[in-house]
Amino acid sequence: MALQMTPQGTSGSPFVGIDFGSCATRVSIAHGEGAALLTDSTGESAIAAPLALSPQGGVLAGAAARERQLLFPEETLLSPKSLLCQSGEELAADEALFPHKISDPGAVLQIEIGGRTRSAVELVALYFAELRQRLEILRESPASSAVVSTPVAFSPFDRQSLHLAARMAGFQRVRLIEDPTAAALGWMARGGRGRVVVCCWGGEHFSASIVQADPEIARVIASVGAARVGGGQIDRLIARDLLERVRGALTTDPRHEAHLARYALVTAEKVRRALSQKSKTEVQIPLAGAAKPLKQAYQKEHLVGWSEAVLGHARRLCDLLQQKAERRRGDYDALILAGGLTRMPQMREMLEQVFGAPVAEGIDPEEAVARGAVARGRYLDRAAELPLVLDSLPRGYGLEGPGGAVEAILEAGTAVPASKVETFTTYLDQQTTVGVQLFSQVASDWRPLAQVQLSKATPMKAGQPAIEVTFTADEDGVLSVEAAEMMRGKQLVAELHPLRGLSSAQVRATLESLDVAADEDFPAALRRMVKDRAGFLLRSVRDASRRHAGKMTRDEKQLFAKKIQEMEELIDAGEVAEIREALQELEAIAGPLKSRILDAGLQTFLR
Amino acid sequence: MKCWNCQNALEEVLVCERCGVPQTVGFMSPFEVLGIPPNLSWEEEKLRRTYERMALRCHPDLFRAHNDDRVLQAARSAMRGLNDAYRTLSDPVSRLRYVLAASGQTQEIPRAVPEGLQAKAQIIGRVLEAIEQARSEGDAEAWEAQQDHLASLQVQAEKARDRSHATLLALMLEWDQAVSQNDGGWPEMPPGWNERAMSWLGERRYLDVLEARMAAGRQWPAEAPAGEVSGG
Ligand SMILES: [Zn+2]
Repeated sequence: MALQMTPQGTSGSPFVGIDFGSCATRVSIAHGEGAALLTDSTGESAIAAPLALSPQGGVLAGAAARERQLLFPEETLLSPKSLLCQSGEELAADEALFPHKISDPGAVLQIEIGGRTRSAVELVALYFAELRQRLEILRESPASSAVVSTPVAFSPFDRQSLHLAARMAGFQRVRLIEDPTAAALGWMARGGRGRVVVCCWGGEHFSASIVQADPEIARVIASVGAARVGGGQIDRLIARDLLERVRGALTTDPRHEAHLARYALVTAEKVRRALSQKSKTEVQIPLAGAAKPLKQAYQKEHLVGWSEAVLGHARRLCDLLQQKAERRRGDYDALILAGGLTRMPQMREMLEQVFGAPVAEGIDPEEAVARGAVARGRYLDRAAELPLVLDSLPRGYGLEGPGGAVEAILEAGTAVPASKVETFTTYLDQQTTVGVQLFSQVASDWRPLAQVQLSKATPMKAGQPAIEVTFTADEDGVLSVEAAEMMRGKQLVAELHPLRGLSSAQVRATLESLDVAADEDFPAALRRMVKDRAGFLLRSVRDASRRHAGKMTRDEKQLFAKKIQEMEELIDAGEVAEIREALQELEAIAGPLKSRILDAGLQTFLR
Repeated sequence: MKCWNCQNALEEVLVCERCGVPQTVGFMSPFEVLGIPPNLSWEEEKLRRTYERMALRCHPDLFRAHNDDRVLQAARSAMRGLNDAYRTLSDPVSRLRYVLAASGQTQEIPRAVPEGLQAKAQIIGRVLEAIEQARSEGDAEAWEAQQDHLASLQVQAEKARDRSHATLLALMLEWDQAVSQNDGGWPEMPPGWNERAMSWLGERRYLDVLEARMAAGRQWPAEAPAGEVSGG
């Protein structure tokens, strides 16, 4: 049946897929029947997670930020994503491993970075904006639509923050996809069908789902997830061990604690990766005031020990998943593994053992989520024949009943979008506001999630008003609430105030401020973007080559001078593509100099 | 009802059969939303296929490409209506509850002990209390001593559940006959049917609570919670 549609709105650009990770992000673009991945300045498809903000207003993301993190740890956020789903308390407990001042640990986490206080949502938006710029410069066309991956553990309000951050970054159409659903969709795009169990295990999160993929419809039957169950958790343990050894070897307190901590964290990741492949490894940490660096050897058994808690936690989540889905070992046609941690033999063996299913072949665990996200994008653009995926709520939501017990309003596994109407009344005469606590179900416990605040009710005798409150979970799993008086049909003001995340009013205000932002003509915007980036790189290269002339060879100096001049000429008159290429070239030749400068700088901090 | 997009007089509730655009769902019975008669006995598979066929016509993901906010909002409303309707009807007990509520039976579900367990209600209470006390005090011996009693209660609870299931089938059949006598329309309630249905719901609740307590009573030591942390 052909659809006769109303006149269409402004047509959006094709959806891109963003696998937003704690260690790295991958961006996939529909390309023919398949997908291509955006590359970082290193040429890798993994775009490093760090975000660097200088007090001068410079913003760097990816490898460029990662390179700076050892020298400027306080200005370099290791993982914008982890701000969205962790409390101020959790982050503060990481001590020197999280070297940013938390200026507000409340519902909307605020930290001081790059000389300013910024919210978690703002920081994620800055990271997304950087990705979006790279996409637009690369393709010379607008990037206004994105499918963004979310861990299962993200609450409805964490998802709201993620969604809003993508909107703030300039993506106008945003759809979320849970990590395991994305990986399953990538598998379906290659013809996979049946009942499948999907595990995504990365830097901070473990997420798993059971999906029934039929030819036309795929249903997410059950899902589980938790934060701080990933490689980052193991790295923090290793880093703590390294830091203790360093402190033991030092005669005085380390002067630059944040630098040392970040160095330990970076080294820890190397240790984890090395021991996943081989039986032993040795690392070195420069010591302040000592002639020789600290040498530390680790064996595979060390990694097994550090991984134990994370492994056990994930294992319990797998049991919970099967319990929720009323399934058991051997009930699946395939096991899909995604995320870097599933490469660790210990982790992989556990998953294979718990689910008793053959691992789906031909899936790159690192790219599976990004490829699945763009597959959903192609489906949304009506450009791919795929099953329709029916998402469901990973956990239930409930309200505190009269006796204090929590009663479920939307249960785990409920297909979304979904809504539930509940009726409330007043306890006092002339009462015009009503507050109710909203809970979410974590395993068998109920935990407070948000306060529902109703106001502007018509003053009446206690118990007389019948206020109908509609709770809605949209297809992305984001919650909203509306209220009306049953008798008069009068709309009430209904607001959600989450314990972590933005209130309904804050979300509305942010979205309204985005809508008024004037639409700039795209070619002009693209030119400005490329010129700004080229200008920024030009200034820093010029500055570096002047200040560090002593670290450069004669040939290098000549090459730099030539490239700088070329860029200066291009920047005003060149085509976008020419400037882009010159930019990449300049970045490539500046790389070796940059690392020499960074190394030298680092020695002064660590020694 | 007319289609908001093409003004066609609608026969279906969720999607206009002429232009294919989803429709906003107002107050409607879940049977109307799924386009099926208000029967209580449905094959699970058949119901699911009906739901999926509708989902393939009104899910918002099918309408993103049109970039028309009104179409997208209507698709959301239609899909929400469809999901809410299917959620209510996919389970026989929730179907029964809906039919009772829609027929004006809004009183509290009565307390009722299923037939066959009535004479044993006191013993059941004592055994479960003893087990729960033993568990909370960590008294393994006292807990062990009650396990045989628990096993025999289990057998009786299962028998009661079988009987309860047969009663449900009879209630559903009676209602469905009234539906078919009314040409598939919403029927008059058969005489005494509502009281029997309400009391059945009361018995079912008793059995659910009993089984949950027995399942907990069989566990020793108490298992650690699964620890799905962070993310609320
Ligand atoms: Zn129509």
